[in-house]
Order: sequence, then C-alpha cells, then structure tokens
Amino acid sequence: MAKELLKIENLKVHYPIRGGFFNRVVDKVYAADGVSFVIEEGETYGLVGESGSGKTTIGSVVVGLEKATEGQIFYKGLDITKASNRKKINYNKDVQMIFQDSMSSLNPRKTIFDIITEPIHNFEKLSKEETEKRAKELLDIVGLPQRTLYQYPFQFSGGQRQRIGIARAISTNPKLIVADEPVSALDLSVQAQVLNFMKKIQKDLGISFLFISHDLGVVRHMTNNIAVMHLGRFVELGNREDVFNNPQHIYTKRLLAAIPQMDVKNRAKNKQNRLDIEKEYQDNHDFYYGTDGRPYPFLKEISKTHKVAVNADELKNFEKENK
Amino acid sequence: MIEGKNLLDAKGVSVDFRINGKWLTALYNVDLAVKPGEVLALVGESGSGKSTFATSVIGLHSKNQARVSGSIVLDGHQIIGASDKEMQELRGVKVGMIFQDPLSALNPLMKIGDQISEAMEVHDVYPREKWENRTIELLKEVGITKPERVAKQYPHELSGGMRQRVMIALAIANEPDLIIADEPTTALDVTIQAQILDLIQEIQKKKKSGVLLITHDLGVVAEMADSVAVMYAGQIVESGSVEQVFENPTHPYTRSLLRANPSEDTTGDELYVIPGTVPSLADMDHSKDLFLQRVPWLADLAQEKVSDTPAEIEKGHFVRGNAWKDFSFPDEKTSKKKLKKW
Amino acid sequence: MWKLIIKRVLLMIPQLLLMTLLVFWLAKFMPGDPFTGKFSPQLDLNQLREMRKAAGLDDPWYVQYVRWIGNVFHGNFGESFVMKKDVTTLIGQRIGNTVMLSIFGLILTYLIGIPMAVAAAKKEGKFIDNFFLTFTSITFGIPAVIVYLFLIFMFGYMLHWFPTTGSVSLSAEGPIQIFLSRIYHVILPATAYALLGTVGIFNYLRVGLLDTRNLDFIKTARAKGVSEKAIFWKHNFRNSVLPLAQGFGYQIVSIFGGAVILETIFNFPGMGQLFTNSVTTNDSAVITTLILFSGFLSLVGAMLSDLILAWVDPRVRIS
Repeated sequence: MAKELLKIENLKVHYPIRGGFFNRVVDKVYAADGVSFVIEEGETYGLVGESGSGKTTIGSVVVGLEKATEGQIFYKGLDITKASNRKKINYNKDVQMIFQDSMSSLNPRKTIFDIITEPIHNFEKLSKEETEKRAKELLDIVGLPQRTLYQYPFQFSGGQRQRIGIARAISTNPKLIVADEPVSALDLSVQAQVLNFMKKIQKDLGISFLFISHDLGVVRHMTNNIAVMHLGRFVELGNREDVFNNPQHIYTKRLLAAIPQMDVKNRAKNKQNRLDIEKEYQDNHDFYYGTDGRPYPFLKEISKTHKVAVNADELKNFEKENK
Repeated sequence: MIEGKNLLDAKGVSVDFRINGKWLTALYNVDLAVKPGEVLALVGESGSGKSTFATSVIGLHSKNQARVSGSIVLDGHQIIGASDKEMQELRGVKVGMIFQDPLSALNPLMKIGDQISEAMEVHDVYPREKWENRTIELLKEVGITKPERVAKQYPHELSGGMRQRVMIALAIANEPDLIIADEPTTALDVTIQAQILDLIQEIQKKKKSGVLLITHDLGVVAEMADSVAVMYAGQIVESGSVEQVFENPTHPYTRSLLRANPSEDTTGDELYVIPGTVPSLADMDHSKDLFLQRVPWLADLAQEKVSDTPAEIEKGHFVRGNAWKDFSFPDEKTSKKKLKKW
Repeated sequence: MWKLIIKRVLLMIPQLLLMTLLVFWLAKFMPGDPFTGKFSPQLDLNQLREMRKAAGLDDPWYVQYVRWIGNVFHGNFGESFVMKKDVTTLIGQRIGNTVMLSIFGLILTYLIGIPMAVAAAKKEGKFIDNFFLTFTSITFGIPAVIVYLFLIFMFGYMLHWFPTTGSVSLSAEGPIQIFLSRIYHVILPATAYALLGTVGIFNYLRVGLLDTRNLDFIKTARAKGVSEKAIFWKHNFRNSVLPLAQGFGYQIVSIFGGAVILETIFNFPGMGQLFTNSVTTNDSAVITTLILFSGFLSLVGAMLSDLILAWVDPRVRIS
C-alpha cells in the first residue's frame, strides 16, 4: 500500500457573482463544491473534465494560487489551505506546477538559466557556481544541451519549451507537480515526447503528478487513479479500469463516447452508441442531476476503488443517512 | 470509395511564401480531388501545409506574400490566377469555409443574423425578401433552438458550441458545393466536438456537398472521413480511402504518427517519439522524402531523390517515396515489404 | 444602458468630492488670498488681520472647506483681485469662445485625422503612407508654440487671410455678422490645433486598421465573398474606429488643456488665456476656479468615454 501524499477533503471554491445596482452578491459560481480525493506518493492522479468543470481551480488551490472557500488539504499532516502552514513546511518548494501554454508561462525576456533557477532562489542560498551547476543538471535531466542555458524561450520549439517548464518545476526537488493540460497545445509527436518524459522523471525522482486534462486518451495513458468532474463536483472516481471499462455515471459515459475512436471498421456502431448515450442523457437528465443542474453531491461506493455520484433514487437514502 | 466527377480537382499545387525577401516553398506538388458527397480529410501536424492548401482553394493568399502555381479546378472554375471579382463570386457560393476559432472568426460588433444574411447579400443566389427568413431557417438547420433570439444576439453572448453552429450556418448560407472545415472542433470541448462533427456530417449528407476537412486529430479523421491525405512538410506522403490508410498505414510518417498516439494499448508503455523536428521552410528540399531525416536508422535513404509520382500500392492508395518498402520500427522483426510481399 | 448611466453619474460624486478637496488644499498653499489685492501702504496690518478673521480665513480648514463648497454650489467662486470682478462673470464672458474653439478644433481634428489614416492604411508602405507618417512625426516633434507662431506669421501677417487676434471683429453688427465673424476668427487657431492633434488619431486609427485587417473575422468576410471595399468599411473601419470613439471623451479634456497655449498665442479671449493671465498675476480665485473647472471636465470626459464605449461596443453594453 502506497503512502498518502496529499489528502483533499471536502474542498469548496465559490466565487461570488455580483450584479444589480449596488453590486451585491446575487449568486455564486461553484467552481469546486465539496470534492475529496487522495494523491499517493509516486502516482499520477488524473483530473478530467470539460472547460468550466472546475478542474483547473482545484489545481490552483493545491499549489496555493487560489484560496479555498471551505475544506482542507493535508500535506504532512498539516492543512495547507492556511498560508502559515504552507510556510512552516516549505510547501511551495515541495509542490510545483507545469502550465499548458509554455510560451506565455515563460518570461520572454529572461534566459533559460534565469527561468529554471528562479524557484531555487526562493528556497535555497546557493553560490553562483552551485546554481549554474544545478541548472546544467536540470538541463541534462530534461534532455536539452547545456549550451542552451543562456538562450531565450522564443529560440525553442513547443516541446522544448514545455521541457523548460518541467525543468523549472523540478528544480526544487518537489514531491508533487500539478500539470494543467501540459500537452494540449502540442503536436502529436511532441506530445509523446513530453508524456514519456513525465513518466521518466516520475520513475527516476519519485514525483507524484496531479494531471489535469480534458483529453481522456492522454489521461488513460498517464494516470492510475482518475476523478471525473462536471460543474464543480466529482461524478465518478476510480482507477483506470473502473472509469474507462466500467463507467457508471451518465456524464462519464458521455465523455468516453465522445472521444473520436481510431476504429474505422466500427465507426457506425460507435456513433450509434454515442447517440444512444446522448439520448439517455437528454431524456433522463433529472435522474442524474439536481434541480440546480448540477450532479448530486453524494458519492456511493461501487467497489473499494470505485465511487460514483448518486442518482435521484439513491439521493433520498443518502439524505436520510446524513441526518 | 465515392465515385463520380471531381468537385474539387487540385493538380501539382505548390505555394511559395516570401519570407525576408526570399521565396520559400511551403506546399509542394499537391494532388487532391474531392467528389460531391465525399469527406476528404487532410491530416498533418502544424507546419505540414494543410492550412496553406485550404487557403489556396479559397484563394485567400495575399498576392504579395504568396505565389501559387499548379491547377485548382472547383466545379469547372480555375482558381489559380482568377481575378478578385471572379473569386468573390465563387467564395460563399461554390465554396464555404468554417474556421477553427468561431469567436475570432465572427465580427464582434455585428449581430449574428446580420452576419449570416450578409453572406446572402453579397451574392444573388437568394432574393432580398428571402434573406431574413432564410437566416432563421439556417439557424434552425444547424440545431439552434431559439433562432429568432440568437439572430439578434452578438457573438460574445453565445457559447463556443453555439458560435461554431453559427459559423456553419454562415458557411452554408448559399448552399456551396464544397465546405472547407479548418480544424472546426479544435477549440471545443469533446462532447461539443462530437455534436459539431455530427452536424457537419448531417448537412454534408443532406446536400451532397463535398467536405475538405483539415485536422490534426487522427480520431476525428477515422470517424468522419471517406478518404485521407496525410501531409508532412508541405507534401502528401500517403493518401487513400480511410480504411486503407488506417488499416494498412504504409508511409513511415503515417505509421510513426499512429504509434505516437496514446491509446488503450499504450498504457504503461512508452509512446513512440518521432526524433527531431519538422525542418524549417528554408531547409525543405522537396525532391527528397523529408520525413526520413527523422528516421535515424534509414539515414542513408534520406539523401535519395524521390519521384514526384507516388507509388500506388493498392487501388487508390498512394505512398510517396520508396522508404516504406524497407521501413520497420527497431522493435519490429519484419518490414512492410516482406510482410505484404509487394 | 440607463442603469449604466446612472451608475456612472453616481460614481462621479465621490470623485468630485476628492477633487474639490485636492483643489481646496492646493488653493490654501497658493500665495495670496482674497485680500491680497487690497494690500496697500495705507492699510494697517491689524486691520487686514481683522478683515481676514471676519472673512473666516482663521477658521479650521474643514469649516472653510464646507463654506467654500457651499459657495461653489451657489455659483459663487469669489472675486478676482486683479480684475476686480466676479470670477463667475469673468468665466462667463470667455467660456463661449473656448467652447466654440474646442468644437471647431475637435471637428477639424477628426476631419483631417480620419481620412489621413484611411488613406495611409489603404496604401500601407506606399508614398502616401510614408508621407503622412513623416508629416505626423514632424508635427509631433515640433513644439506647438512654434507651429502656432508660424501659422500666425504665414496666414496672418504675410497673407492676411485670417485675423491674428481676438474672437470677433468690433465692427461686426447684428447676430448674423457677429456669428460669421466669430467663425472667421476661430478658423486659424482651430486648424492650428487640429494639425497637431491629428497625430494621435492618425496613429491610433492607422494601426487599428492594419491590425484589424489580419483578424479572423475579416477572413470570414472574404470567405463569404464580400468585396474588398465592403470588407474595409463594414468590417475593418467600423471595428477600428471603436477605440477612437472611446477616446472622444478624453479629446474634450485635452483640447481644453491645449487651449491654454493656443489661446495665449493667438491672443484669443477664452478660458485658456484667462488662465495664463491669472497665473502671471497670481490671481488665486481665478486659478482655483479654472483648475476646478478643468478637473470637473476631466471627470466628465472620463465618464463620457465609458458611456460612449458602452454605447458603441455590444461586448461592454451586454455583458
């Protein structure tokens, strides 16, 4: 049994919507509404959903870029939604982030050396020589030639820039990297390179990933455990096998059916399957979703690894239990 | 395979761009044909020239910056060398276009209805009194439930999926024979993508129009296309029916791409990484098989000149160059040639 | 839209309050007070102190401020100790001139700037484009004073086409003649202002037109088969002119600021000239009032810009 690295409990992030004449809070956006999951040491945890599902919000809270409205995130036994706790254990050194758009996340006026050593300066006092040595090691790890150290981001290709982003992220020897759509801006051949590379550093350095993506194909390839998000809530959690081969929630089924298959022979069948699921989703929407249009907030256990959001029938039992 | 006369017939199309005072070839000797009712997918990674080709078909290259040669015949009209006036009459009527990002492709200051009816205003396919009705009809046709309301809205008021539906309505306003869809779903969520692809297919079937689908997504190709042309570095390296290309991928590039794609079978494994990068325009020598630069174990073949006429390895299935005969991945025991006894 | 207007007007209240406080504070620090003008060898210092006390100048600042604001609201801005007249009267005599000059100046600025930008953008890199670019960079580089003096010299003294001073001819009689004479007097300064003010509009619109030309929706219009002419006016120009419309509010403010030099040099009896005169004579009541006025104008200009933007841009209007 692997050790628990990060435990997220009942995390809520609500944004107020202001409106009306006096800019009062008229409603809230439930970017994340009561999600709980555990990332284990050395694993890749997948967070899947479409735009607006709240997956990026969760990633931002985990790295401390955004505040939780409610709920806790435990790391080394401390709740790091409090800034004082983050400071105490140097949390920001242990948790780093890789972004989707490597071009805009790298400062165009800084050299690669500046970029990848910036996080080091925040946590360690190294001499100039030591820093340079470290920077060269980092370039070795991400497979870029050392002579590129004093070049600028625009001199690199998309895949190389993404590796620079990774070099920056691993410069502090983190335990966890939040990767928000790390390959969705890349061509297929470059994507393969980056994905392989992420797997390699995970093996070599024992890093865990929170892998956030809309691309189910990539998520299936990369992750062990997966949470499927819709409108701020988890609709299904499980390991790869559970989610991809035994999906329970209509939304998971919908997502899976919508992935274009490289299966020319069965394409008519696949399309029919997708249309059937879409019909089921349209016809029985209220069975899976509450009157507010969001998935029901309780998860029921299918197996030890597999959980799914309840439907309208099961909801009553859960409400009774919770009282 | 779809039979009949070609709706779009492109022969030996090359495009040179002027970059820093030098003419560089971005598209070289492309032959392609689309028949009425056929979906032809042009697939390749960024820089492969697929969008350059689409832009040539609709004649939108700037005359100062680009030189287009060869022949593109669209329903009997030669496009290369056509005057601005001739092109204006063809665009929208013979060929409609759907762009990748529907938000930036719609004028932010114009109402949806006005943008659609403008497409009719500039041609005399429909008389003035029909514009308003037809705008509503078109919006209905692309699956918008409140067409009257949407016609009065502005692009920023709609969701991404709705906007792409509007784009489609706009492209088919004058019932063009050919629809060019340039990465029509890349900016959309996967469930919306499926709906938009279904919609394009439905319209295409109903109107018997030809579709030139530009995409980088092999899955989309496998679900939508009747035929496929795979492009690399400005050339078509393999073409054929969708079954031929997916079930018997032959050119080293096609095979490499399929291997680099994560799928059910790749979990836990390393993905195949295509070494190197696409050459820059200045380094493209189109007389060779350019992809071989990225096959380290066929380095000697990379220097060989290659015929401009591709080999037809089965009826309608074309492959450029000779390398496919000897190509195999290092972990495979047999090459294609031995396997198929060609 | 109505909601936005009311909201925006209400927002001006705290802005105004802050501004008046600032102006009041500045005025306090300026040398001189309403009695400085009465100062003479015959006046006893003690008497002056008494007068100051009676006028409330020894009261705490907030009492003075509230009294001042009260006066301002009643249109009482005090008295000019140089010209021995109500500030209200002084400004009243000149505001019409300045407004007329501003309106003509603004109209001419747009009338010159917009066609220049359109011509330059249509022929990007060609002779006309380079010509206008050079022209605007020259006018941008030369100090306004020199251009104004040159124009007065050229069209006033050499060619005698336009008058070089005043706002109306003294010999004009009857409303029609007076009106025509006023226009005649305003043409040269307004043109002078427009020639310089055009730089901003020219650059803004030219760059806007060139940028918009490459946007995707222009490509869409082309793919629809829209003619190049229609694409330019209906899609490109309309979208590029948007920031210009927004800048209109600020233009009003800047022309009033520009009037200080313009009116002084053209010896045009407007508020700008009044300001110059007051500063040279240290006429504190007039200066304070004019600063207050221009501050108020800036706030109105900013509000106008916001409202215009909301009016012309549906993305702001409907959000």
